[in-house]
Amino acid sequence: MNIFKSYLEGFKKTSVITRVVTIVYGVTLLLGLILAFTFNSMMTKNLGGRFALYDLLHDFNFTIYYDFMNHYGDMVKPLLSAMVWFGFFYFFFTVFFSGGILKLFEGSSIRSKSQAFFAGSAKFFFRFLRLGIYILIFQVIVFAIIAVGFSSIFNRSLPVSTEPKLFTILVVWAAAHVIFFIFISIVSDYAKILLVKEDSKKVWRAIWSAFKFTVKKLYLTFPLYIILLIVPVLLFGGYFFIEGFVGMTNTPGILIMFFVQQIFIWTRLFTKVWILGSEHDLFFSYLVIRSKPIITQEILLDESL
Amino acid sequence: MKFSFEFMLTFVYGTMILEPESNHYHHNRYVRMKIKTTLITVLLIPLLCSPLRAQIIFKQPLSQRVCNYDISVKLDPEKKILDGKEILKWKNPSKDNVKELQFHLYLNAFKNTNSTFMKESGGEHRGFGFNETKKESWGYVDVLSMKRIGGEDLTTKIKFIQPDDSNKDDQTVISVLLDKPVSPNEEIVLEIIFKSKLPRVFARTGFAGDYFLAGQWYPKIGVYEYPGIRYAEKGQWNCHQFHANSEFYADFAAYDVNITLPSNFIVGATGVLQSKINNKDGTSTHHYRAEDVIDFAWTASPYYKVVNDQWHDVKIKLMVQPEHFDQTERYIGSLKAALEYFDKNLGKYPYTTITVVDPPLNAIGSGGMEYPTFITGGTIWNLQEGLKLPERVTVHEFGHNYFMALLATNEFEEAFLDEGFNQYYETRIMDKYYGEKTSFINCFGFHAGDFEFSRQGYVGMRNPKLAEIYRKSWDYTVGGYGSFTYFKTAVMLKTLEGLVGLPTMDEIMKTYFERWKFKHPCVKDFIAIVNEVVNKNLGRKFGDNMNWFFDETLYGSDVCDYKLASIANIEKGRAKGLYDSSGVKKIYPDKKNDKPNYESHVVVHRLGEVKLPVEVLVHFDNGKEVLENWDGQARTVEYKYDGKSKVVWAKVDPSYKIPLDVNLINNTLTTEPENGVFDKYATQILFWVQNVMLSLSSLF
Repeated sequence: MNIFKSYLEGFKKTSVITRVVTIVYGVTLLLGLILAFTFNSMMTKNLGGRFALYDLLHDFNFTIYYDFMNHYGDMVKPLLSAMVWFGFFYFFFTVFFSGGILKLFEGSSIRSKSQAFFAGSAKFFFRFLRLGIYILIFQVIVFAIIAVGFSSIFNRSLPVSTEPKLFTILVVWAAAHVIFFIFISIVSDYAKILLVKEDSKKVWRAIWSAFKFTVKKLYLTFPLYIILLIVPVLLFGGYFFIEGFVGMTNTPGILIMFFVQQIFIWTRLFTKVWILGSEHDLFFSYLVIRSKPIITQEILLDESL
Repeated sequence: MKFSFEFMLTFVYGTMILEPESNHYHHNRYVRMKIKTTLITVLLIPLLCSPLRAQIIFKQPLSQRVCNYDISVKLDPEKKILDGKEILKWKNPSKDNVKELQFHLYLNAFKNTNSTFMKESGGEHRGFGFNETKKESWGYVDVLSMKRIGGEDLTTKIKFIQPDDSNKDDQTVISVLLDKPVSPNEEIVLEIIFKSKLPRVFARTGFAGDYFLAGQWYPKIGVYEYPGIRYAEKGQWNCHQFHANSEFYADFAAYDVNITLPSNFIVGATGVLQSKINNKDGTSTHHYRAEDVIDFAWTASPYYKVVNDQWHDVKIKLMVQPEHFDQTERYIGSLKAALEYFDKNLGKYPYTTITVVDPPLNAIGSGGMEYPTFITGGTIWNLQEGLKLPERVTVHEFGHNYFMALLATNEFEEAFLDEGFNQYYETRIMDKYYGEKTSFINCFGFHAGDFEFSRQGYVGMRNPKLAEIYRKSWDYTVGGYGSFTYFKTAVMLKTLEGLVGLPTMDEIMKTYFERWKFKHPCVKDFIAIVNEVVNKNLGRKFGDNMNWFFDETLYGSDVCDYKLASIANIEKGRAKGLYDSSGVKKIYPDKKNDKPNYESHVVVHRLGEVKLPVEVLVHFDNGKEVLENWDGQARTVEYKYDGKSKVVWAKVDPSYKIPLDVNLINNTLTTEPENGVFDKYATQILFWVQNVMLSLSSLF
């Protein structure tokens, strides 16, 4: 099965560039640490001796948690807005590093992988930024269409339907959001692959070609992405199991969970790159590339494969 | 013995008294039929022995029974209309000659957007599905005729009045002037023909498809208060408009109600089912009788599943939606818990039935309602065990039977006596049966107790000084009704419990209930009992009386906040240098190995304006603890200790007697901080920030 071959190839490609994955992980760690240290020093300084808060170490305490939020929540709110800004920044960073990673998948004349990575990132940043903005717009539009459509169905059903029927509508609604989100993400990934492969600046054409490929090979593109999405889900399951088992009720537990969390984050990142690597392999294993750039031509699929 | 004339007519003639063409009553037809049927009925009376009569429920009336309602009503399920005839007997309980009667016509609150209820609620209350462009969404009640039996026709004397807000468009209260006053102890008998259109449910009452919850559906007489009842200094009607925040205050009565509707409907109602008769036109007539209750409500739907159960002498009827059937035990179990707890800790539930109605989702606005012996719950399909929604609402609505129905306080003027007192008991019951930390929610590691949640309803307000508890329900014009009436009242009573102790608190509540049930008490009656019981049990521990407590917490809007401000341990300096000893200069010895003496200071501040006696627990490094009692009056208090031990930590209100304290975190302070909790949350913040970033990046 080509799909499993692609997984394997994707894994191999990603394994070769784990250093790059670690660099990207390092950025998330750095940004997160800024907020975490700020929080820690602020709390220690202002509330260090208020031992009512210590209850929260062992278990959730509704009264203490909400008294804290009522009276000291303003201390935390700037951190929340900082988190949003960090997320915003990281989005651009993702746009940046995607070009570098794909360039590494393509192979580079530069010997140093790190140098090749940053060179690729810089080269494709602006065209990927355009792609990112278009994809974001697509996501918002599709989200809005689905939301409006289903909310209308739901509101009409609300006064007359039984609860199981309403629940079914909600499930289908949520599923529609997820499916279309994934679909657009897949198109986005193949568009990135094409842009790098052809070294093209024609973002719209790349999207259109990627769209056609995704649709024509939906039975491959979709499962490939979905199965790799299962990995983070399993990781989350595993994480919560370990957290429940270890607990964060004392210093050793906190330390163990810190490492578990960071392994989790690194693995999530690795999986994300692994998806891209697998898609890269899948895409090219189904293409017979003519001498002319494929973005400016129709993509010809070798049906014999 | 009470005999139901309407019941007998219905039984003997079945559909005869119904208008077959239109399927609802017509007054003129009524009159004609009545003459005809009365003759036959009189002849048949000897044959109609006891099984056909309304069964008397209580041999001795439990209440004054100022009123007696005999109502026949027919539901048109297509038009959502109730055609009814009401025979009302009202006995003047005062020493006045009463020249005017006042009635609630509460369905008129749903007539248009100009009603006081609609204006106060903004047309939105707690349900959904109300479509204001549809005629059938709106509700009303028309009094087609009102006459004094054997006397004048009062129909033309009916006029709408607005005692609360002068909103001339509000038609929820009528006044009827009598040409002949009702003398003290005289009984007036009225025949009222009315038509009620039920609104699409979005608040409390109405229909949704073929689900019907008929509350506030008939003309109900107000309460004539006279000196001795609540605050009345002279005889006067207390008949408030229908408000967004309140709807109950009525006199005790006996009800005989015949409900006629298609036979496929399953019916439940206040009181005891006397009979069900299948009529020839495909309808059935359900006869219910209730005694010593202040209201009557009923429900009908073809889809209910009915579960019957029993708790001691109380028959339980649960009317549940098919999709909620698997939650039957949650409803029944919580109801039995409430019955048991109230019976043990407040007083006996005197009625013989309790009906719990589980509304469908599309009529959830009628959920969480209370009527005597008849309550509505609320849940959703496949609700997690950890979300105690049906349990909470059942316990809460059942509790109203004690405060709204049996004590029958005035919800309009002193809503906290019903909602707040009931909330206090809800938290006690929920926390006892479902766990202090889990009785509200217990899902995915997130858990909260019912009292914890209630306290947050008050202390978590943006402005907990927004209003005082003691306020008319419609005077919460800028919000806060729920927070103060329900939650602050519950926290206030819990604080009172903390101060006087649970046994004394239970004695207060039991005395209050036993002494005032069926008598419409007001808060000054309650405070008088608090003073009486506290003085008896605790002497002058809290002064001459407890009025100060209610001045601070009930009538005042200030907050309570004590803070453990500082702990200091000062090592007492040893003398150093030289000293004279028998004319010789000697140097003070260096006693490095001696444990030094410390002067320790613990300072507590009162940040809020509310002054309550409070305890302070001081813990020393040798394990010794000292419990200080502070009257809480001054702005600050300082405790000093001399000795070899240092103070390690101190805590204000260590036994958590004062949940009114809005900030429990500043009640504690230690000199030996542990930062584990901050490390934990810093680690979590790091992790989740990273996850948020990765998730956002997946948008590209």
